Amino acid sequence: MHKKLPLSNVRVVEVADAWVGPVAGLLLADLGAEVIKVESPTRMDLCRGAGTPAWGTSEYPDGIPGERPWNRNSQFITANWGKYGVAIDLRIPKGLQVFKRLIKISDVFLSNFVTGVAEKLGISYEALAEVNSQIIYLSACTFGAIGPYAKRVGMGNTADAAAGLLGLRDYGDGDSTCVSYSTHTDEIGAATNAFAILAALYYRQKTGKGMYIDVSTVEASISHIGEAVMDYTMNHRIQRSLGNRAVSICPQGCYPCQGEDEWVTISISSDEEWQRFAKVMSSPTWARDERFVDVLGRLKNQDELDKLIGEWTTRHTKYDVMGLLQQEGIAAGAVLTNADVYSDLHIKERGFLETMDQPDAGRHTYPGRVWRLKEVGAPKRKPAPRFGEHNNYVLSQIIGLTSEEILELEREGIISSTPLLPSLHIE
Amino acid sequence: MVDEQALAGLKVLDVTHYIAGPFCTKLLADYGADVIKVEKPGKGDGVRRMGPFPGDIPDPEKSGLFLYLNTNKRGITLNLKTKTGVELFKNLVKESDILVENFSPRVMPSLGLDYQTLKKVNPRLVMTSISSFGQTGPYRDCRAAEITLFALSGRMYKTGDPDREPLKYALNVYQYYGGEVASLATLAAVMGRETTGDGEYIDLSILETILGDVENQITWWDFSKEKGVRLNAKNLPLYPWGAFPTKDGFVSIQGVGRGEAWIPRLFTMIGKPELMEDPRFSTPQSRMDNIDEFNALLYSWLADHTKQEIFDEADRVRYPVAPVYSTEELVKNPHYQERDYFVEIDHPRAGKLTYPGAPFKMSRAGWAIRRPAPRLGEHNREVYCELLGYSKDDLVTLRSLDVI
Repeated sequence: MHKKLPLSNVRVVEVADAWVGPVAGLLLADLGAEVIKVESPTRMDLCRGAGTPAWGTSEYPDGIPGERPWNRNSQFITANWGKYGVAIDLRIPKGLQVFKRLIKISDVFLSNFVTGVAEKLGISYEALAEVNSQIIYLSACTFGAIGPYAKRVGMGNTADAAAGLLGLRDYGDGDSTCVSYSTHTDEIGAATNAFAILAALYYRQKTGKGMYIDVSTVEASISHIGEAVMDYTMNHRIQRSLGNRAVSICPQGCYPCQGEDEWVTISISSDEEWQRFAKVMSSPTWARDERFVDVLGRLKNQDELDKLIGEWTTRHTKYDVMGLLQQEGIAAGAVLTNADVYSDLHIKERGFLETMDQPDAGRHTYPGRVWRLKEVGAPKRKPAPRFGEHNNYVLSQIIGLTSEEILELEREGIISSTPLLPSLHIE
Repeated sequence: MVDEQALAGLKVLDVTHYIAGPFCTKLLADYGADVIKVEKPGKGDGVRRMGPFPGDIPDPEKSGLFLYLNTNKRGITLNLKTKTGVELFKNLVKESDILVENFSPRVMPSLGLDYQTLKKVNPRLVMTSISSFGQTGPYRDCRAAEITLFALSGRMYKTGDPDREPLKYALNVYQYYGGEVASLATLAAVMGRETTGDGEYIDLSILETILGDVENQITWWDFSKEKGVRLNAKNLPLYPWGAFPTKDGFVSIQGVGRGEAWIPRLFTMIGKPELMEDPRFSTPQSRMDNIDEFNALLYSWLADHTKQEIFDEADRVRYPVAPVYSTEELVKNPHYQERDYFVEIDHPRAGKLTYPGAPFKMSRAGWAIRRPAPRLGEHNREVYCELLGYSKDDLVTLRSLDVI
């Protein structure tokens, strides 16, 4: 018998797309909140994807988009489980009215529109506070709600650049073009959104007051490279990427192992660890070289050191290197592929992965909750909503519309459980 | 600030060190919680020995990382390896809503400070343990640096150049991310306690936060046996995606998202809207067939313009593109300046410096700096005497016994 999750009394209305907003909704749902995701009959969350996107169909079961691909996309599912899903057209006055009735009985409104769009739709903070003066209204976007760039569009890859993270990720040669894209700023933004909402809920519990929260995912992300900012403000030094290396940890790097595209990371943070590492390698002559005995020497001769280490690692599997070094208390980590993760013993024993059924996508195994609340436990999650799946439930059970009212909205295309545009966003 | 801060009144006992734990408690402190940071007498938080330092001169009171991560916290010293120290600690637990620690999993139990013991001292306690691999499992006692966890998460394999070794992310971003997730889970548990009256124990594994990172897409293996690849502009040419060279640096173009809907904007941005009708480029397939010409047009336009010009042109057509900024460009940027994102904080030893400010803005009761990072043991008297009722003489005794 599970105790109630901490946010069981909290209702969140999510009008958000892709990751920054929806993953915050996911985190809150994982904590027990009732999260109602509001899409539009003519505009789905873009992560529901297109049937055959240009980059391939890996996110569909067996690579098959199927009849209703918008309900089968793993990218959407992994960002939206635990939520109710409705599709209401807010641009039509009747739809907006229904939406406001939902806001009236909700605690939180979570959105990631670019600045200006919420106003156009009639769902600004002012408009919603009129309906519910205690609402906690969070608006997240790349550049935030005020400032010269507030209205500029952005997503994870561009926030990555604008927050300074991309500039600190290259092979140490200053060439940003060879690195993969990253949307890590979306995750940072999502966690920040969830934290902000929780802080506002805590405050409201004390005082009865709601509030408006302005999140710039760029600012939330700059907060995660504080040491580089301090180096600039202290020393006027512009930090550049060191690749896989670190300032005073040597050696640190990613080394080739037996097999194709197999790698291991090694991080040696003291001279004693260096001695133990040499022992693991059966003390080759070069490991006793004077140049490598202390960290300053190793830093100075890092290129050659990395080459020599690589010659050793390449004769072993990544798991062997990790095992041998960890036995000696050295931080070594195999570079796992998606496949490796699913068969990793630690991850299995932690029970981290969770198998869930979703009617259109079938049974799959996904990452589970990213924390353990040991006393209250972890009840099974609801699957991610199919498009408009909970229209009836939310409109009748939560908002209190009659079945006639609901039928009328359907007839007028104000609500729908299939997308009302024949083609999807992306070709 | 008219309103009290949002988390005012929340009492946090903080025995964390380095980055992940302190960032978790920094978030709580910066939004109003009363955080008491416990450090080892003499040595203090190990991060005090990590730079950057002003002028590169190491000084435990001037570490940029320490100063940034420990704003708004009061600092005391306490030796948990002594019986008296452990008793003092339990007295502090009694007065606290939250306890956060990020030692290796063996440490707190070995000190007699595991959750089951502390629950008896304070049944309402929310205790959060942040660790690399979690409190259980075969890797529990393994050593990990930032790069180790990134490698084991599956994310590193997919990062970097397809023709080179996998690459880590900037600096220590997942230490920060793990700390932030711990912080929100902790706040949620406190909310839950308001309803049930019960405390909670939170086991946070930084590795699991990376595994659960939606960008990681490990699920593609389960869905379609896709083990993951390192993507960049080289092997995903269809939509400009990633970093591109410009006249004075790089810009990042958001390729995926609205896909074909954005291609007309791209052509307009580079001053060639007529190319939308050009049979060489008007469909995805035709663009693939003429990829060299397409790239030549794009790259040459980018090379002719500065980052800022491109950013402005992109804005005119509503195409997501942003400059790749350095830290200098962040600090000097008119947008972040107008938002007052960077703030000046004065510290008795380190002086006035500019720090990153609020990660989000609340319309009331929000972020504020009440005090800079604490000097080692700065608040011993305030905490031990005023809060716990010890006398000044008691402090002298405790110090002589190496307890504080």
